[in-house]
Amino acid sequence: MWYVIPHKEQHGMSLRPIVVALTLGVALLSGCGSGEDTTGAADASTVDTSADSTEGSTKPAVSGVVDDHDEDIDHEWDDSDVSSIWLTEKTASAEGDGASIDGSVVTITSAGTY
Amino acid sequence: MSGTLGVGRIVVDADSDENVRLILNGADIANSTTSPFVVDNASEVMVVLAEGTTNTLSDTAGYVFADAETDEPDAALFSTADLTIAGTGTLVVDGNFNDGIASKDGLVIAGGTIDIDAADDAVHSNDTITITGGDSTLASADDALHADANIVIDAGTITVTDSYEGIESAIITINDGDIDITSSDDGLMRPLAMPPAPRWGVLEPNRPARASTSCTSTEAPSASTPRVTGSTPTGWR
Repeated sequence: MWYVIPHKEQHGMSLRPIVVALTLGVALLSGCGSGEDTTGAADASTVDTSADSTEGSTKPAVSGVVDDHDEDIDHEWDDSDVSSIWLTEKTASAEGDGASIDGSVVTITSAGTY
Repeated sequence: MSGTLGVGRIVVDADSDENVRLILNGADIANSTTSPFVVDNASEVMVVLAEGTTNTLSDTAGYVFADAETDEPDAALFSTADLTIAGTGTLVVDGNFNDGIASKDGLVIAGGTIDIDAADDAVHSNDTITITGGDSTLASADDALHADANIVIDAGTITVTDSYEGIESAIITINDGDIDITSSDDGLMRPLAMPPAPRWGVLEPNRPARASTSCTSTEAPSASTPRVTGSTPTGWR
């Protein structure tokens, strides 16, 4: 089942709410005042206001580049479906037809677990 | 996959919509003229480190490319597809040519004890790196973790024993995890245009990296804003 999931669509949907919540939380936590600010209190508050007001438009772009293709189901497989590959110093051998051997090069050409 | 290839190579060349899971169950693969482990084509590849096993990928500085226009693969574990490292075993990567582990797409470290020594970046992605577990020990001549777009650390232990810059990306988000960075330059770095004074972008060595230190940029938050949230990286120096 893992093999046929079009993961690009799937992870994008599930991740977005988490990232948006996270980045909004960061904005609230970033209370400022690290000592680097030489622009004065008025400027700082102006920056904060504008920053908060742009959260909605800027954060989806940020979350969109987070690529969390790894999903829980990816970590589950049936041991009986595993095709063994044995490496024997200068060559190799493999179960099934998903992997081909050419000298010391093992090429996996099909979806599956090896 | 188990055993040793003294001079050999593992290649994944599946269809673009196919996922491949490779369980390293005590595999030791070395190559002297190219990468010992390359993903040429797939949708996703997961490398699982089997419990109780130690697996090794090693190359040399003497890569030979097909022609003058080709400069890839250039890492001991090189992927053109989404790559995930998982499991509870150990992976030792000795990258003598360039990077240790590199993906041109997304890269997730979900588990494993990972020990990388690289001539350039220890872990490199042309897109994103997401770390959700594992215990990584990284030594690099350049960046320990480098992603062009985004690095997110949610969990895991990351120990950078040697680096020029520890973690470099346009956006760095540390939500949790136990992170210890030794760098000769910046511990955390974004390689984009800096505001007049270093505020958001550069957290220098010897300066604690906390959320409260990175908040007074005159720039509005943007896609190029690094964020340090949650736990404080320990052992900052």
